[in-house]
Amino acid sequence: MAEDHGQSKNPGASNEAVEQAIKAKQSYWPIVLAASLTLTLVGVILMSHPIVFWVGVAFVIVSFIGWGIERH
Amino acid sequence: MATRTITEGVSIARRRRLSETYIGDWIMTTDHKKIGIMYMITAFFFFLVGGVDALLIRTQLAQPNGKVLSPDVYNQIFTMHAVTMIFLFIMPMLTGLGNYIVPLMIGARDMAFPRMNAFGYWVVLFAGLFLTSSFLFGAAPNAGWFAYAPLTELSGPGTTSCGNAVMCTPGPNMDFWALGILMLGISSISASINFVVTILKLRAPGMSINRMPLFTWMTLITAFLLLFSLPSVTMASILILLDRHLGTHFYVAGFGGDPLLWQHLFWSFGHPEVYILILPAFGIISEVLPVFARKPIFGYTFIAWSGVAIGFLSFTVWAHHMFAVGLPLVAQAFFATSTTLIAIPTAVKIFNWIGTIYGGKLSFKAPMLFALGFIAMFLIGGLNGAALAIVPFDYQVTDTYFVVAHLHYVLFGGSVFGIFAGIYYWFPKMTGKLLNERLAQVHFWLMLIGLNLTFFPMHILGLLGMPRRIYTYPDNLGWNELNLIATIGAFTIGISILVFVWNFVVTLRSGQVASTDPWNAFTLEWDTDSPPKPYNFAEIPTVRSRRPFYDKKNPETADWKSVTH
Repeated sequence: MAEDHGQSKNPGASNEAVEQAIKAKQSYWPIVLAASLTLTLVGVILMSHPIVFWVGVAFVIVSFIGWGIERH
Repeated sequence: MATRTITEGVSIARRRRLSETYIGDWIMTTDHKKIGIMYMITAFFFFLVGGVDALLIRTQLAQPNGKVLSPDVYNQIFTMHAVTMIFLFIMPMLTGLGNYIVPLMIGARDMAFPRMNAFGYWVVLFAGLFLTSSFLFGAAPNAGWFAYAPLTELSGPGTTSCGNAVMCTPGPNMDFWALGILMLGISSISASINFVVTILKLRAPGMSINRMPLFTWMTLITAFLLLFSLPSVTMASILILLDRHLGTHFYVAGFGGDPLLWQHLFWSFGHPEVYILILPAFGIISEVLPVFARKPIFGYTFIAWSGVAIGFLSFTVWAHHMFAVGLPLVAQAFFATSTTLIAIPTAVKIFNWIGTIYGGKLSFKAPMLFALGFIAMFLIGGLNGAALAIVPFDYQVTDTYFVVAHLHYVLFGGSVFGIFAGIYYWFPKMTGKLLNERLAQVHFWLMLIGLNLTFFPMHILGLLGMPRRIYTYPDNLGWNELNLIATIGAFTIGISILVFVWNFVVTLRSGQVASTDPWNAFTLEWDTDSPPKPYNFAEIPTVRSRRPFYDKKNPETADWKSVTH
């Protein structure tokens, strides 16, 4: 039922080793992508300043790429 | 020697990475527990914002001919009160509780997609700030939380300009609404996918579907409801944006569009949304009652599968919000029947909760008080909801304060009481501290009294014909005293929340230290430290019944020895 997603029993390992083995790495891409999306939508509101929208779109693309190539 | 000194010097001088700072650790975290806490703190902040909105509304309506707010600001305040409470408080709070508790309950070490989990949270935060910042522009959404077209169009019906501002919304107000809802939809979809995969794929060995805790069950059903209901409101929002900015006329009758299309699209999301807001609370109650009645849950299978039935039926009832628009008789009959039918699985749950309490050794600690308050208040909300399913009665009270009373008994008496039951129940697990019980009892009783003072008179106001969302009223309609009572009740609720905040702060600073299992509970989240280590469990537990932690503590009377499921 449960796949081996850091779930396997490992009674011999120390707790710190378990933590190192299973913890997902920290990442700033989630917050950067969310902020980029927000900037894009603010750009929709401020249609008189389309630069905001396009900067938001650029950041969204960069965030997707950064997230995709990040080692985890 | 000299080399070593230089090396040490460099080492000491190395700037800490962002992730090594306290704030950076939270910003970059992918730990489900930290993300859950951030969800809950953010949601509570917006609860306070929405609460201030509510107090402003009640202050305006406390007396006839009120002039506390201007009409336009009043429209913005009542719209944002609902948007904030529904989308920025109840949903994120339940997502936060689920984030923190579900992986622990099922014996997992994290959510299936930790980075997507973090992304979902940050989108909620930014969407909330985006929506709330609309006040700074004097352009907060102002057409009600369900944003009916063509009121939300940029131009008036059959025209190309908004000559009459009563018939359309020329400012960016509804752009904020539509874009904010789109963002929150993105967050909800990412959270839902995460919950579905986590619950289906990461359960501890032995935890079959039939042994899952009921909070996990309800979270799973809620995730599916979100995945299937969000597309319609997303599409509705995109269409209104196209109407407003690219010259389409999907909702404008004068150009061949149909305003009712909005209502169908919105409510085919909006009614499942009601169950999205209440089902996780059902799950919380189903966890709290057995622990404080010292019994296994009565009718586990019925509670779980009635949740599934509610989930399915919630997609068949949307047009009961639209009886007054002139639906064909056959449609009225269908939606009245389906709305009545959905009361059956809901009643099944209530009877099973009563069965759980019956004959138990009851302990009236704060989580139990809120759970019992939930049952009583939600029952009132359910019964007056069943009344609204009767078409002739609905015709009489549609868009009156009777509906406001109904929805607040469901969402405040139901969801909010359920949320506080969960907060009091799991707070020791999250912080290692016990909230002060005396202050918790004061909080409960003030909130219960305040709720009934505020919302019960609204039934009568509705029957007397007071329309919802009305800005003010003359003094000769017999509404004065009831409105004043409702306002006193609202401020009583406000005081109860201040008591909770005080309790929260005092407990965090100098509260009683809790053991890992202060309630002598039954499920896996209590079989770990308080607060849990980042990896949750040093060793993944093996499950043999629906009460794995009870089994571990009571090997002689373990459930798996006597019960087969």
